[in-house]
Parts: sequence; structure tokens; C-alpha cells
Amino acid sequence: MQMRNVLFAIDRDFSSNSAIHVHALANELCAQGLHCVVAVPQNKETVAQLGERRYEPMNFGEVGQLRKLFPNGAGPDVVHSWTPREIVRKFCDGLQKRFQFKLFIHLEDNEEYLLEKIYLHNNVSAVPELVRVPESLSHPVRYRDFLRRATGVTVIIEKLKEFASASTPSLTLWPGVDTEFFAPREASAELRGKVLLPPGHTVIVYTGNVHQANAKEVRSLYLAVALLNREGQPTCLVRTGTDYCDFLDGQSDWVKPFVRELGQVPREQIPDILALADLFVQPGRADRFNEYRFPSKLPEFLAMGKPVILPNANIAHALEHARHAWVVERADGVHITEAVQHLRAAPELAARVGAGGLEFAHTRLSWPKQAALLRDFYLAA
Amino acid sequence: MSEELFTPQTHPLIFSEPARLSNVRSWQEHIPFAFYLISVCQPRVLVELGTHYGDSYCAFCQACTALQLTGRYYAVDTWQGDPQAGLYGGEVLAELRAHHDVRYGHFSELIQSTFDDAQTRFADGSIDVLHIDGLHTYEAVKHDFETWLPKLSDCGIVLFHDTAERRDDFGVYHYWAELQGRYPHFEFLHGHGLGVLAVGKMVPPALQRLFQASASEQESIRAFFARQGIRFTAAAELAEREAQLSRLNNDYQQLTGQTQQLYEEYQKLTDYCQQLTEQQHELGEQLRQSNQHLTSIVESHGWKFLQGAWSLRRKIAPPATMRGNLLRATLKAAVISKQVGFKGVLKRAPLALDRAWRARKVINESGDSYAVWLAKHEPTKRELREQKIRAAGFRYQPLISLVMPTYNTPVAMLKAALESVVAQTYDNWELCVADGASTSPELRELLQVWAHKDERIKLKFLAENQGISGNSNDALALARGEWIALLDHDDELAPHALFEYVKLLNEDSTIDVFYSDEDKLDEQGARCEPFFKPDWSPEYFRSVMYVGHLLCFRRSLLEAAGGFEARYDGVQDFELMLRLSERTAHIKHVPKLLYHWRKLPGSIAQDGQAKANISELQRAAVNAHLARLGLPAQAELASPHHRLRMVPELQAQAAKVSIIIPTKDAPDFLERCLGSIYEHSSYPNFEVVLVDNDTTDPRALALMEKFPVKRVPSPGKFNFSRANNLGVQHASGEYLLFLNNDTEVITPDWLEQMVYYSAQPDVGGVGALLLFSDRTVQHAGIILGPRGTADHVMRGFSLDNEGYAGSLLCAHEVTGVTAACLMMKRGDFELAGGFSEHYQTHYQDVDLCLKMRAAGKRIIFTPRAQLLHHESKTRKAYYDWVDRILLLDSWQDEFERGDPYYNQNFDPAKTDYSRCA
Repeated sequence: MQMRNVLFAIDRDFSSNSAIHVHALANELCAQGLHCVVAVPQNKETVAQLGERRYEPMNFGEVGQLRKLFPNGAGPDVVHSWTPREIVRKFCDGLQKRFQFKLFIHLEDNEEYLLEKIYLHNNVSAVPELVRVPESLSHPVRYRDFLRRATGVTVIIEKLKEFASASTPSLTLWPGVDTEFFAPREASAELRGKVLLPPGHTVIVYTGNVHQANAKEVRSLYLAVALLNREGQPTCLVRTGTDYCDFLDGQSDWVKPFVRELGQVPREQIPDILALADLFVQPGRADRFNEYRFPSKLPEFLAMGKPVILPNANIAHALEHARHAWVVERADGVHITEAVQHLRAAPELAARVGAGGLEFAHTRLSWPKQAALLRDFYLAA
Repeated sequence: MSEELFTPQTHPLIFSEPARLSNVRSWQEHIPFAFYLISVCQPRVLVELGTHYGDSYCAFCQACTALQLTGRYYAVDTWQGDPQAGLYGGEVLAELRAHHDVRYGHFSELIQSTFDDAQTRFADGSIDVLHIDGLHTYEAVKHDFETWLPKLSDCGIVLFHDTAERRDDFGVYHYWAELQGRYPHFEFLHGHGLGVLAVGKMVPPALQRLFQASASEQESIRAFFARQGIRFTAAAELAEREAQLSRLNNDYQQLTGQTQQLYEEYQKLTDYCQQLTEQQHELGEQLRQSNQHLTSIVESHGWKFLQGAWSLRRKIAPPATMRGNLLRATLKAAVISKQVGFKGVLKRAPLALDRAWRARKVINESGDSYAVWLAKHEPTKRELREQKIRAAGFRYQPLISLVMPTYNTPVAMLKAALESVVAQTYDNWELCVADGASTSPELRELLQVWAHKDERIKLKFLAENQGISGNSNDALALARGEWIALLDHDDELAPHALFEYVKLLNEDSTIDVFYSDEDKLDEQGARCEPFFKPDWSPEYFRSVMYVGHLLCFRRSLLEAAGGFEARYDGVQDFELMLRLSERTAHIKHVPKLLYHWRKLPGSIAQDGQAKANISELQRAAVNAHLARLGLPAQAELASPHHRLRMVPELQAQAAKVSIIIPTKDAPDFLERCLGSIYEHSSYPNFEVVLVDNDTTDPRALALMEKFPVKRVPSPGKFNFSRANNLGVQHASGEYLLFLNNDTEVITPDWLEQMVYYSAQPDVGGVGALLLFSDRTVQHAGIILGPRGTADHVMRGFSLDNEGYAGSLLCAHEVTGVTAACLMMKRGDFELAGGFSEHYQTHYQDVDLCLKMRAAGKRIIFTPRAQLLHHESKTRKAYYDWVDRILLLDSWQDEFERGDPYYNQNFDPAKTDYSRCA
């Protein structure tokens, strides 16, 4: 079967982190000669915020127009469901009634953990088959059937292969980073002034929203900032993103003086904000959530050429401690504090780790290489 | 229409699908003509003035690409909008570029400019096709046409959009009318109108024929292109409708989901109502039976005799009078004096009076509320049905042998016990009954009928009653199961009892022993007195027979430990559990009420003191257990409720204890603390290390000279963790005892008691009972949960209170103890890295204890080491939030799991063992 048309289906609109990955891959696949369409449940116009694209966006509801979106007027040869969650699974089931294609499924989270954490703890049923879940999550039984039906499974991190059948071909597909957009640069003095960063302070930048799944991790980072200041290391945290939950239990006086919260900022401003940092922190620890994910901000952090502190989980297994990053057993408040104190006291070490991270980003986190891997995987499956 | 005039079949492009259809449809119906125009004109240069979303321009480009022409195309627009189209931002151009650049960028250019500024880029006579679709007022269109006219070539064609639009200030139609007399032209009336004007001398032949067509031919051409064009707007509208339909479908799905949820809630409520109705019926039936029973009693001769006797008693000593109460108490004292003697009665009297008052209070308070609580917390009928389905799918479905010895059991109660077994939601069980030669033929018949009905029930009728252990061992001999569970003949199982155990076994195959929470059945069969137990607590178990029911263990473990021992009849299951616990630590507590223990007159369930020799058997069993483990202590009776205490044996070589006290000034506290240590302590080998934080008070300085203490200066800002860590560096003892300077030793053997527990290899820390100055409890261990973090359990309890199930009378496992008095082995302390100096004010002791627990060590609270803690009962106003978050952050999993020694059925916001709502 000749493979020309690829349809990606994602579970949220183009403002999601997954969409950034799909956007980059679809653009690269188009550049490599394929035709791509990216389908989202709704709000396809949000694609505009991602910049130049070579693929066509569509809403799930426009499936009747799908053939028109491919230049050859045919249907998709490959459908890549970018998650097994209900909303996408149902969409793919609908597509299978209209077209013949190879189904690929991408995993980027421990779906079972999320289901348990977000939903099942207060919706217990003794029988998994009878559980009704919202469309934004995977169904405990149906998602496994869905995976079994796939021609191939791609995973963002090796450990997620545990959820795929051993007989289904699988591919580990790390995200990449645009190293021209996210590149080391001098911190802007003007921006430092705008953000009110006092001189002599260590600056940590964290870009990302706070939601239930990472609330405790971000709280660890805030705690570390408070501890650093209390223990004589003046430190400021620059935050972007939205808080979708109150992760400080309504009491933030103890840390607010050390945090600059900028809210949502346009993506094109992110590199300049990242450039304010002396170092980056990916808080968290090896657990059922973290071991199965690839924190979406990490490639961007690494590409900025500053040292990154991160827990010994997921991608950290591929990074060499003290060469590519500063890997701590668990990046909780205490360990982050001690790591920052250590790196700030050893500027040469910090510079070496930052350079190592940059090298890793350039060599291992390349979108064109990942897209080529994916294209070959489609062809071979 | 002749073939010569218009031949669409020679221009198949007309029938192509456009690659771009935006949401702005105003031009889309002219796309087929755009394809045709490019096909017949093949312009070398095309310019569009006013591109907006680019549907028209991209159609021109698409045709150029499809026909493989070699023109240069330009779109001119500010892409900021105008008053007619509305103003917009850069996203429109960005989106257009995303479509355009990759496809047409090699021959086409998007010029972001005003029309006037752009026209300087074009040489006169260079443009073959000009499409004017900018601002549509008369003046603007006229200006655009006149400005750009010189740029048009000899074969120049100009398109005007909106020639049929007459609303508001649209003026194209007006200017179009003026131009018609000056140039050959053709006008489409659909899609807001499109005018085609030939301004050059050399009109392309195909267009020439169009301009010269008759009125009817022109009508046909218009109809043809209108039909072709409407396909796209119709398709777009269809897509929009589909999207709308999809949205509506989504809404519908959501509503369906909500409806389903509501329906499920409704089902639950219905089940609950049904339960209540059934309970009501059962209660009604019980009432009816009771009435019958009462009538038969009242009518009996015995009753009449008793009535006479009571009547006489009422006359001599009426109830609720001094004489009446005295008579009642005297009768009870007479019974007790038989067991403990007259002195024992005198000693117990105050406690008994207090307990009687408390019991009455508990009954008054809990009564009906327990039934309500059960209704909220127990599985519904629907959930039980689902359990059956789920149990059938368990990967591991072991056979569980329920072992039940019977002897003259009241038939109704035995029947209830059998019914509770058969009602299990987990099916793979067998009931092994050994009857010790009961004299009741009804009982024998009942057992035979049930064994006949259900082949999973196995029977053995013994020739004689061998006692509880002997009968149980015979029942065990019938068992084939991999697991054994013990069921008394008059008790009942919860329907989900076995399911809960097997479910856990499917998650953790290392479990060897299970026990659960339990409650009691009163004489009317109503459930009461729940007992919520801690997770496996070996130290507590040595003092309190708390494990009880529903005890279930691997048969292989039983075989290794040996069966029941007849010499412990009465505490045979407790004694067996002691032996099992010597062989495994994989003992799992299930915090659910899986067993209902019947209170019968004369049973321990009814009266803890009903069986006089129980305590002695219990003590003997524990002493044998201590001997087997090599623990240097003897068990002694601590209270008549079968509570024991461990009395450490004197050691020939007492290991050195270093008492580390951080201090600053406070001479009164220091004097009381040091004085009590040196005057009261019976332990022979200890030192005191005072970590002095800049004391200047002369009295305090003199005290440091007076007592034989080691003084370690700790200048600067006080940090509790740092001070203690420093003290350890100067301490030489094998055991470290961290002590606050506002404490005062009460019990002389406090260090012996603490060393006894600390010396056990798997004990990581030992805490003492600390009392406020008014002798109420200040510290009896720390639990996780209250106030969002951790707090002292039973704070404020009176010292004459035994605590929940003896927890204030007996040593037991806790999650943490306060560093106001905390003993540890030096090696453990150093392995844990000492107190964390990241804490500034609170929780460093909880953190240290949790580190010990994470290392697999137990923390023990012993009420046998007692000190006064002269701390204010009022909590200090200052609260360190960083310390709070630090504790929560460091021990996330522990807080999520909850305190293992404070049952999850207790209110986590309280510290007094009250049931959660």
C-alpha cells in the first residue's frame, strides 16, 4: 500500500502541549513528502498560534470534508491517534467506518494512573467494564482493546511500552525542540527590570500550567525557593502559565515575595523569559505518573544552555548526571534546594552541565530525525 | 449555447475542488470562473487588490499551478481590514501564509501594503489580470481603477467584485455602470456579483466571445457558473451544519452522561431506601417476636414469682434511691469480690463508676447514629452484586476454608452464621464444621440440612466435646483450602468479607495473614460497638488481644506454626496469632467491618471480665511468646480488661544513655528538669549533654555547674535540629534521649522502659507519655492527618482513661513521637542523617520518625515512661508555613495513605478516636 496521507488526531485543540509535538512532526513529515492533516475536537483555528505549518487542520466534526484536505483527494492511509482517550478513540472508530487505513496509537501518559487519580477514586465500581469515564480520559477496558487493534504503537518514553502488547510493533518517539527558536542568549536587562528581578538573586524559570497532576511537584519548587531564601541564597522564581488548582492550599504569603507570576505569555516570548534563568528545575520524582511521561518543557530547558535539575525519572535515565543535567533522586523541596546550593557554589560545574544539556538537545532532540523515524515506522509496520 | 461560444469540457479545471475554502464565503461561488479565466487568459502577471482570507487569490494561484503556467502573481492587502470587512489582527495573514507559501510561494507574493504604495512596484502595461476587491465604496473603486489602469497590458482584464451589492455604502455597482459604456464587459449576478472588463486592445478570444454573446446565451453562462459555484458554498454550509450537529451531539452525550450519573445516584438512593425498609421490616418482626416472648414470660409462674420478689425489693430499696443503688452496687461487688477479693473491689470502685457513666454516655450518643453510619459506609446491594461479577474475574481465586467448631449453639444464631457464609460475594470457600457432640438434636438437623443444600459445607460430628481447641483442630482437619479463616459458631461474616481479602491477594501476593475491623451484634441482633483497629502492631498485640476477627491465614503458615493448643482454650486464637506473627511480618489489616461478634450473656463480647481465667491464659501465652523471641521482659496484668504491660528484666550491663537537652536561660525549667533526672532516675548509666544557646542568666549558669552535665555551647540563632545534632556529636551514649528543658521526670524507671523498646533491632524510636501540669495528656504519640499535617493523639485525655482499646495504658506502635522526649539508638540516628536542619520551628521530630519508618523501623509509644511537660495548653500563635509545606512535601505518600495506626474510620481531623462522619 502506498503511503501518502497521514491524519493525526489529538484530544484537545492546538493550544495543548501534545499539539506542539504533532505540529512539529506533521510539518516535518510534509517536508519529507507526505501529506498531513491534524484533527482536533474543535477550535481548529487555534492552529494559528503555532506558526507556520504545512499540514491542514480540521475539526472532528468536519470528517465529511477529509478527502478534500489531502491533495490527492483520497482518504488517510495512516491515522495516528495521539492518545487512546475516549474522545479520540471514538473519532477513530468513526473513521474506520468510512476509510481503510493503518491505525497507530501514541502514548504519552500512564493512562491508568490518570484515570485512577483523576476519576476512579470517587467513582468506584467493582467491575471495570461498567465504568463510565469522561471523554477526556481513557476507558480502563476499551483503551486496551483500542491498543490491541493498532498496527503500531508509538510511545514518548520507553516505559510506556508496558501498556502495549508485545506483539504490536512499537517505537519510542521522543519530542524534539526547535534549537533555533530555543537557543542560548543573554538575559535581557530590560526584561529583568520589567519582571522586577533584584540583582544578585539566583533566577529559576518554570514555564507551565499547574493542574492536579503536577500540583505537588510545582509546590515542591515553590518550597525550594522559600527554603533557599530562608537559608541565605536569595532566589527568585519566574513562572509562566495558568494555575488550574490551588496548589498552595490558599496560603501563599510564605513564598509570594520570591515568585514572579507572569501568567500566560505568547509563545514567541518564552525563549527570552527562559534566558533570564540561572538554572532550570523540573520538579517531581519517580512515580507512577512521572516514570511514564516526558516533561514537555525539558527539551526547551536543555536547549537554553543552562543547567537543568531534574528527578531520576523518565528521560533522566538517558541523561548523564553532572554532564547533561543535574539528576537528583527525587526533585522535592529539599533536594532541589540542595542541588541549587551546590550548583550556585560551583559556577564552572554549572556551566559545564548547561553546555552538556545543550549538546544533548542538539544531538538527541531533533524533530527532523524523529519525523524520519516515524515515517520509516509507518512504512515498515 | 454553441460549442464555439463556451466549451467547459475543454477546461476541466472548472470542475476541480478548490484547495482553500475559508469561513468567508463571499467570493467562493466565483472560483469556477476564476479557474476558467486563468485557463483562457494565462496571465503573465496577475494582481489582486484586497485579498483578506485569500479564497479568490488562492483559486487563481491553484489554477496557475494546475495548468503549469509561468506567470507572476501578487496579492496586495494591508491585512488589517477596513470598515466594510471589519478590522482584524495578524492571524489572518499568518493563517493565509501557512496555506499559501508552501504551495505557491515560488511564483506568488503576498504584499502587505496599501494599494497606492504597491502600485509603484509595477511597470506600466505589465499586468494582464487585475482583480479589484478592496474597499467597495464608489470613490474607492473608482480610485483603484484609475490608479491601476496604466499598469494594465494590451490584453488587460479587470475583475470587479460586489457589482450586485447595493447595501450600505457599497458603490461598485454604480461605478460598474459607468464603465460598461466604455469597455467590453460581462457581469455575473450570483455571489454578490462579479464584473469582467476588457480594458486592453487585445481581448483573449474566449472572453471576446463571452462579451459578444446574446442575452439568452449570457443567461445560460451565468446559470452554468452559478451552479458550479454554489457547490462550494453549499458544501461549506453543510460542513458547518455537520460541525454544529457534532457539537450538539457532544452536548447530547454529555447530557446523557449526566443523566446516567443522576440515574445511578437515584439507584443508590433507591437501594438505600430499600435497605431502610428491610431494616424496618426486620425490626418490626423482631418487635413482634419480642412481644410474643414477653407475653409468654409475663404469663409464666416464674415471672409472677419474680414480680413478687421485685415488688418486695422495690419496697425495701426502691431503684434510683440511695438504698436502691447501694443494694445494686453491693450485689455486683459481691460477685467481683469472689474474683479479686475485697481490696480489689475497693480499688476498682472509682474506675467502675466512671466507666458506667461513660458507657451510658456512649450508648446515648452513638445509639442510632451507628446504624446511619453503617448505611453510609457499607456496600450497597448493587455494589455487592458487582463484587460477584468482579470476583469471578479474579486471576487468583484461592479456596478459603472457613473453620467453625460448634457446641450446643442456639439454632437461630447458627442459622444466621450459616446464612452469612452462603451470602459471600466470593464463591470459592468451604465451611468446615466440627461439632463437639452437641446435645441439641435441632442443631444436628440444621447442620445436616445445610450440608445437604450446599456441598461446600463439610460436617464432622465428634464423639465427644474436645473443647474449643480440640474441636477447632478437628474442623481444621477437614480443610482443603490454601487459606484458613476462623468463624465462631454464633457470629456472622459481612457478605463482602472474603471478597475483600481475595481482592487484596490479587494485588499483593506476599500477604500471609489477614485481620479486619469488627463490631458486635447485641441480643436483638442489632450491630453496635465497632472496633476500628490499627495496622499490624506487634507491640500492641502483646498487651491487647486486638487482632480478633476475621482472622485468615495461609494453611502452610498454620502447619508450620502448629494448630490450636488446648491449654490456651479461651485465648486459643490469640495464642495462635502470636505464633503466626513469629513466622511472618506480612500481616495485613483490612479497615472494614467484616465480622460481627455476637454478645451473649457470659461471653467476653458481652462482658470483658466474663471469663475469669482469660487474663492469666493471656499472660502465659505472651510470656511464652517473649521467651521464644528472646525479649527480656515479663508480661503483667495492667487492667482487668485483659490489658498487659511489659516489665523489663534488669540487665547486668546497662548501656549508656546520653540525655541531650537544648537550653537557654530559663533557670526554673532547667532546675526542675535536671533535678528530676538526677533525683528520680533509677537507671544506672546515663549522661546529660546540655546544648547551651547563649545562656546569660546567672542562676541557669550556676545550675550547669551544680549538676554533672556536659555543656556544649551553641551560639547564634537557635535551630532545634542543629542544637540536637550538635549535642549528639558530644554525646558518648549508645542510646540518645532528646529531652526538652521544660520536662520533669515522674516515673523512676522511665529510662529502663524506653531502653527496653529501643533495644529491639526493628525499633527506630521510643516516646514517652507526657502530661500537662494538670496531669492530662500532652503527648501519647503522633498521628498523621489532624490539622492537615500531624498532631498529638488523645491530647487532653484524663490519665485515668485507658484510651481507645487500652491505647493509653499499653505500649504500642505509632507513626511518630515528639522530640520533647525521644529515645533512639545512636546508629539509627546517624544512619538517618540526624534531625533535618531545613526545619526551623516545627515537625523535625515527625520527619525523623518518618525516616525511621521508611527504613522499616517501628516507633513505640510507652505510657510506662511518664514525664510532666510544662507547656502551655494554649497553642502558640506563630506557625511556620514553610515547615508545614516541607513536611507535606517530603512525605507525600505517607500523608496520602493516612496514618496506619489511626484507623481510617476515625475522623482524621480529630485526635480522640471519634468515628468519622
